[in-house]
Amino acid sequence: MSAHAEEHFAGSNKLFISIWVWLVGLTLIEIFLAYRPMAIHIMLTILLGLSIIKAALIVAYFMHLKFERLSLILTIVPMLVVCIILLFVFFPDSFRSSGLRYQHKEAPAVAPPSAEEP
Amino acid sequence: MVFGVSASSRGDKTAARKWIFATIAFGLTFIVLHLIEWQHLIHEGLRPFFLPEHWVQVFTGPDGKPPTPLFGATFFTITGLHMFHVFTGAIYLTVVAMRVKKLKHEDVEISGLYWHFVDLVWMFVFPLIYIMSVDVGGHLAR
Repeated sequence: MSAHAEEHFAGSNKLFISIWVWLVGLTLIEIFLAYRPMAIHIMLTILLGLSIIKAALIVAYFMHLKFERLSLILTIVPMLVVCIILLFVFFPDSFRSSGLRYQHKEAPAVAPPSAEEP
Repeated sequence: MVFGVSASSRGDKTAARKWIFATIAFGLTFIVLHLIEWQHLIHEGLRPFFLPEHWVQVFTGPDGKPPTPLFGATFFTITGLHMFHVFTGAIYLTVVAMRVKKLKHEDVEISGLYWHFVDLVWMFVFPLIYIMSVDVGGHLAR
């Protein structure tokens, strides 16, 4: 098994350092954007886009998915997408309950009276 | 960590151990800095279900609607669980580094995958919690 790993493990230290520089660069762009006032949904879209790029770089190079055989990539990546789409099942609930959100109160000095009491 | 896995794949166990210990040191530094940040926020009055009074004043909407006080709960849960992941990762990597000469390359590689997974989570936690809550106008600065 270990001979197999040596055979397939690609990527030099130089490559890893250049990926790391890319990751730091993308992070700096995110921090720069943080200080630009802009609409929250535009900001969210850009930040999530940059984060997905960073995550893809880590998975591809540091977790060396890029150097694996194609069938493994075809097994893992679509499953990830399906899992993320399944999470969307919860979105209707989160919109429904946004009107029920917990409102700010002063920190109670004593325990609040029970709701059942008249 | 990648250098550790890379050294291990070349069969250079001594270098692998050195790189893994460096990874652990950075992980522990992260935890220490994070705990200092928690201490500052708790000192400022942030609690899982209550915001500091001056945050409430700043974030009350123009319609007089107060902010939801759940930021504390969200923040402490997400960053706390992330810190727990880093902490267990540090313990895991310590065991791997101590036993690296007895372990196969795959064992080192799997510990590397775990560590990068934790890193991957931070790629999303950092922009969503920190960048989205940057104090652009300096309203909270005291």
